[in-house]
Amino acid sequence: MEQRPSSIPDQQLVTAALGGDRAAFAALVQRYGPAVKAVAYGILRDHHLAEDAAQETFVSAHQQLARLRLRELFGRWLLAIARQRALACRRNLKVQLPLEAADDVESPRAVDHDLLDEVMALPEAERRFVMLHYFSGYSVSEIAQITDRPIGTVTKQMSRAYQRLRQRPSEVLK
Amino acid sequence: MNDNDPFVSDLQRLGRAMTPEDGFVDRVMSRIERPRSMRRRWMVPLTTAAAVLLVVGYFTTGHLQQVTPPPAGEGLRLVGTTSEWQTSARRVLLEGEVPAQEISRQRFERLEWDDAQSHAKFQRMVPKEKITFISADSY
Repeated sequence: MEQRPSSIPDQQLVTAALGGDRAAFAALVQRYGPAVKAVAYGILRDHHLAEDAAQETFVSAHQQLARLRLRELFGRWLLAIARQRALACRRNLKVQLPLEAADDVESPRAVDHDLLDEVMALPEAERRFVMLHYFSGYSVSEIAQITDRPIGTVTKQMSRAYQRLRQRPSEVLK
Repeated sequence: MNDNDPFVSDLQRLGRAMTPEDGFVDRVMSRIERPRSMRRRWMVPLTTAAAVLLVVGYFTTGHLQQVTPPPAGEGLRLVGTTSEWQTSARRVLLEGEVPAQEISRQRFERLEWDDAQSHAKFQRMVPKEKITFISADSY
């Protein structure tokens, strides 16, 4: 991503976007771009398809934004759309999943599929916080601000997520 | 969570791999805005063109054909038809080869005429845009 997204709460950005503020929705796209792509990639296992699905997700979210009742839940809602889009893409294209060995491990786009699967298997809130922190680069306090949660809650859920990921089989073996 | 932990590096590396390519935000925003701007740009000319076509079509096809039947003594022929029943209608008329079809009634969808030789009455349902009247001399 070109620029680090602001830490204005999702709720405010959604309200502004509904009022026609282009920059507000662009900020949401920037904020959740990596998370949406990660959800899509977790299902499609292909960077190009995942980016296409991510684009579709944001276009669809923009069209349906007025239907979102609880605006503070934008991130959760968006990632659910991303999952639906990626599953539809996989069904429509009958995607052949590429071999994991095809990824160049030295490439910056090489993906640790085991780790990604573990992240995707986390409970919804933990997964979202992990992705905002590690994928989009937000600090814990910024995540608390963005998602309108107490900072203690975010910290606790991040710690839980970290423990779960630490216990994954590939880590235990190290 | 210790940022020096190699495990944290794994997560950060995964995050970099999941970062969309440069220009992602612009591509999404242009896709969101394209339909709306196209609608704005093309709505008025398209609506005007459609209205003009409707008016022109009305006066140059069905309407004029309906109000200008061929004079008595001229033949009637259907042209531009392809479906079976339309071909059948055309065959009936051409086989008659008489100039005495008398158009007794015309409607948008239905034609009725009497064949002066066979004294048969013909009736066909014909879409008005498929009908053209020409002179019997053109047979």
